[in-house]
Amino acid sequence: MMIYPRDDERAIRQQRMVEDWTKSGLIQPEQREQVIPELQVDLRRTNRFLRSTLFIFGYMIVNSVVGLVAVFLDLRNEAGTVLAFVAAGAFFAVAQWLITRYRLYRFGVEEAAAIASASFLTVGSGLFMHPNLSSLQAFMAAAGGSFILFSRFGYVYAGVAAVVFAAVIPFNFEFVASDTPRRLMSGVILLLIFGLTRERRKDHEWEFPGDSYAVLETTAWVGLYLMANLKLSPWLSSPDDVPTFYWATYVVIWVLPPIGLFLAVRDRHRWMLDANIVLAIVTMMSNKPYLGAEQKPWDPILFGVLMIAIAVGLKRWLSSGALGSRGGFIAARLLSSERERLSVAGGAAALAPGAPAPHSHPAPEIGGGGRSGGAGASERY
Amino acid sequence: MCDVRRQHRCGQAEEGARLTTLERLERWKEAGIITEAQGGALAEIVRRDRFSIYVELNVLLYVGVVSIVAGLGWTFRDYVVNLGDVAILSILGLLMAGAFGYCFTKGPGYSNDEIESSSFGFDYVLYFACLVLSATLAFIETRFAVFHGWDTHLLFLALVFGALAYRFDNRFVLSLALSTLAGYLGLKVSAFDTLDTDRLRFAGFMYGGFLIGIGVLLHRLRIKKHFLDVYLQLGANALLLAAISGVLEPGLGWLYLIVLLALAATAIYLGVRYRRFALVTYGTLYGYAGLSVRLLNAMGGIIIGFTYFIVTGSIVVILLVVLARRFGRDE
Repeated sequence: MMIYPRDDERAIRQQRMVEDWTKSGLIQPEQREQVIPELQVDLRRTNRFLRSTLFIFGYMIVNSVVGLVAVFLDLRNEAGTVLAFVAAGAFFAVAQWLITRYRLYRFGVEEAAAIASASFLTVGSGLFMHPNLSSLQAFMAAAGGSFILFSRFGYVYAGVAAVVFAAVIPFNFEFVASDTPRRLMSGVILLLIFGLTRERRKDHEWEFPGDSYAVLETTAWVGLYLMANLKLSPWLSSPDDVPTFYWATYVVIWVLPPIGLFLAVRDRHRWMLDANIVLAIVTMMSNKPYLGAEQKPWDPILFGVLMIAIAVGLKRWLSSGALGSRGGFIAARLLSSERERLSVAGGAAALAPGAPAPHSHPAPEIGGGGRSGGAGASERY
Repeated sequence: MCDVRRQHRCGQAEEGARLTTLERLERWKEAGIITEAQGGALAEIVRRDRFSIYVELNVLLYVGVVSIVAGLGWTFRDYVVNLGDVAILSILGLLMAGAFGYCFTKGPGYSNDEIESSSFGFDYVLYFACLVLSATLAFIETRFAVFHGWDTHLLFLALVFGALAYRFDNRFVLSLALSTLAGYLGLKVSAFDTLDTDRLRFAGFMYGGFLIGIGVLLHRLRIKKHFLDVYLQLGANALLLAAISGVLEPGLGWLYLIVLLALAATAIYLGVRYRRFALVTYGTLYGYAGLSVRLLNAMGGIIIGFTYFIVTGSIVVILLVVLARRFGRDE
């Protein structure tokens, strides 16, 4: 059960939407002033910079405390395992206490305690009955611990970690020596997670916690692709020399992105859409290595031209529809946050921290009145 | 197990329990806070009946542009003998002329303020032109050694990219200019075969100081004020990195530490004053790391180390919490 009331979680997301709508000119600042008080929650929050700094220092303190205890008590082997379990329980309790006592929400410190508890659970479980560390036990504990954090505190990154750790579990089975069954088992686990999270997401549509489940659903889908693409994941486990499996995975990597794109378009699922665009690109890049064909120097040119042709073609096709839209899809920017998302991608690509992406473009009229984007700010509804 | 719900908002929880965004919009519409048209438009976005793929299209364009330029470089490198210099330079020249020609004829006029892009893909045409220009100059330098070294080539590119970034209000190209300038300074220093020494750090200080100085100056002159963040972020990191890299140097290490702490304190102060909390993060992390490395290096011992992290880490956390409660609200 989540520690934060669902109403608060929704109100926090709605606050962000209102801010975004205001920046986008969809509502006026004075309207924002009227609705924001209704969305106030009694939780202490901070911005992402202070949050990340507090997390780093919090995590450092937590680990230092446990390290100091271990050194003072000169704990070894089983005693060290017990200390890890005790620390896991203690810091989980500390995270809960910080939240209930000080009403912290994504404040960094309580997250450090929570993440540390999962880390210690992983270490303790890995060492339990195995002085040389059992990776199977460690990954199972990591998956379980991360899932508990997601369920209790709502940390989406912990949920993502749980999915990843769960997918890696079969690669640590000692009774399965070859790669093919391991990948198949991992695929089954991911498919199961995909189905479950998809159902949970649909239960809530795009309201919390549906948005969190959407991320996990996408993670499982991407993981499924990663397991299938033998050219992309040889680092995970060396693929066997089984021709049938090899060509089956070749088919799968061509089939998954279109299916994913279809589901994304049908459900208006942003995460799936973005992920499957990337997967489609990766499939094209994996094609020649799969076929054992030689890469030609002009391949990137053809690829680039294809990308640009798709982008321009889609833009023109969407723009030529009624009100610049087809089936509700539009090529223009609706919200200010879209520009910020682009700035993150652009900043990462250009290695320029905080560099917003290129410009915004004039947004289309919506709702028969105002305009989205900065241009709409002066227009009243 | 305690639940936050029990701690607060008990009365309100029932009243506003699990209100969806669409229900909220309906309430605001009924209360007259938003108009019918606004409610309808926002509901369309919330229900995803209107769904923008603006970001996705931009990413496709970016990937396309970078791929084409990478492919051009690869192709010309492998087929330089078959194609010949004239053919390659002609192709690059045509691409560049076409792209720059498009930008200068179709682009918006210059303004000191932030301006909208004139069309979809315009920014990527400019970015493409800049990358092709870079590839062309690299080809000329490789084949004909016109500049007698890469430093002049990089400085020239940095200046051209900078001018284009301001002319067309493009932060992608500005980032390209600033990273090219960093490359130029690195090459200038390595020309003395003095990498990883005080000279390189001095170049780092000069680079960081120059970026912050020019950024602040242009901001005060009201020329593309929105570019300030790019300058501040890069400049602050360059300065702090240059300082922290020298903290363990024998002899001058303490001097570097003093400079680092002064820079970190300045970053934190200015970050709080101007609500740019990234600077607070940089100042805290770099300052703490530099001080800790130096002190722990002098003290040694695992128990002292753990105790140091607990005590000093707690002090930093308390100070940050106070800061967060006073200034750093959710963004």
